[in-house]
Amino acid sequence: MNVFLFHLLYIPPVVIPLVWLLWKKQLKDAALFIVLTGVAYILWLLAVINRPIVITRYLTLFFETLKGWWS
Amino acid sequence: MMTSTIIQIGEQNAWLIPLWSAAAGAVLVVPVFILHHIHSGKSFIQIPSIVLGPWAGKVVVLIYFLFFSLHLAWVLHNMSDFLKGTYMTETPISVFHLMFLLVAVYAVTKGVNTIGSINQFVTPLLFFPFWISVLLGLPDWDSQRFMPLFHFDAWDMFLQSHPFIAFPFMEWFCLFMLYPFVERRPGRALIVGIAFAAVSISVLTAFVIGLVSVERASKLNFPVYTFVQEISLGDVITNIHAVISMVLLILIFIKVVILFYSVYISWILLVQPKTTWATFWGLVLFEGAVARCIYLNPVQNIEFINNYFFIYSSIFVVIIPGLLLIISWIKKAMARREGASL
Repeated sequence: MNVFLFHLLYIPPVVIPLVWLLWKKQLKDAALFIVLTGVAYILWLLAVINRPIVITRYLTLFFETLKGWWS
Repeated sequence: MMTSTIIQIGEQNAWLIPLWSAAAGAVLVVPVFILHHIHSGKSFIQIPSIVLGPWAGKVVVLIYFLFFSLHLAWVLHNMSDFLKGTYMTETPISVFHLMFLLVAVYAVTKGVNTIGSINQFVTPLLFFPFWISVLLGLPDWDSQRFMPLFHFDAWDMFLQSHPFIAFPFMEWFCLFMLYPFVERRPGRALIVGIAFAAVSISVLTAFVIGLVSVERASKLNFPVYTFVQEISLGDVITNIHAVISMVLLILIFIKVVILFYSVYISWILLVQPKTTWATFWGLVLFEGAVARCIYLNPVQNIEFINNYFFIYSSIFVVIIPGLLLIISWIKKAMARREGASL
């Protein structure tokens, strides 16, 4: 999937609810929605450009560091 | 996928591993049980705020929001691995994740009673098709595949089986989100459930060994699916593996629903949003992305599970609840002492 297609698929389902929340003056909910969809956007975009953040890799790094301190 | 790893470790005695893993998992329930006994009527996610106060409590709730989110992502990615590896090889994995999440959202919007009713109605219906499909393989059973029986170092095998204590026998933890809603003997129901799961997985592992053999099963990605795929009764009854696939997918869906409920409730408790639909939609997109990024491929997943999953799960299932329990006891003792001095 190329980057343009990803934006084409991702932006409408995010922007339309966000505009609606701002229109209804639900500012806190709009901010929370931006946080969730913002994190999702970064994760997906990096996956689309073939540089995914692999969460278990970071968990492995965390436990390896702990092991290093322990021993 | 875990069946082949169990067989790699335990070989012909692998059917014993689920039994003692379940026993260890049941022992680990005890601190969480006691915590719920002290704070009766509260779900696990409500307890940190009571024990630690609102701010520290919210930090713990945030930690559990992330824990449930990652666990849900794991389950979704496992499911998409199965579907991509067997039926729909060309479909992008995020399509499976989003489809399951959307149905889970619908179930969660209907509330806890609906989630409970789905379990109550669907699970018994799945029992018979699943076991009948597995039992159809009996003509190929070879008892020689279990020989030499009980020829192993029990302690060494127990130490090696730690991933199976975590997965699936520490997964009961998310059920504590539903704990206050169970009216009759929730603790007993949970222990019976763990015992039943242990016996089922043990019998299933025995079937895989007896029908497929240790050598072959330890090299297969989905041994249960493969041996059922090979069953055919003449030209009439074929493709029995479709039944197994449906049963597995429905069971995974139930797991997804409970985990999504846990994610949703912890998010609600953390940030208290006003608009329900925006929260659900935001969580669907968030979970879809996390599920895409949780691990790279099944090999890396198995490696993480074998090396770190027990420690990772213990932090959330044993250590944090244990600390909450100790603080609850201290606070209770202090309150009693203050009451006595007055």
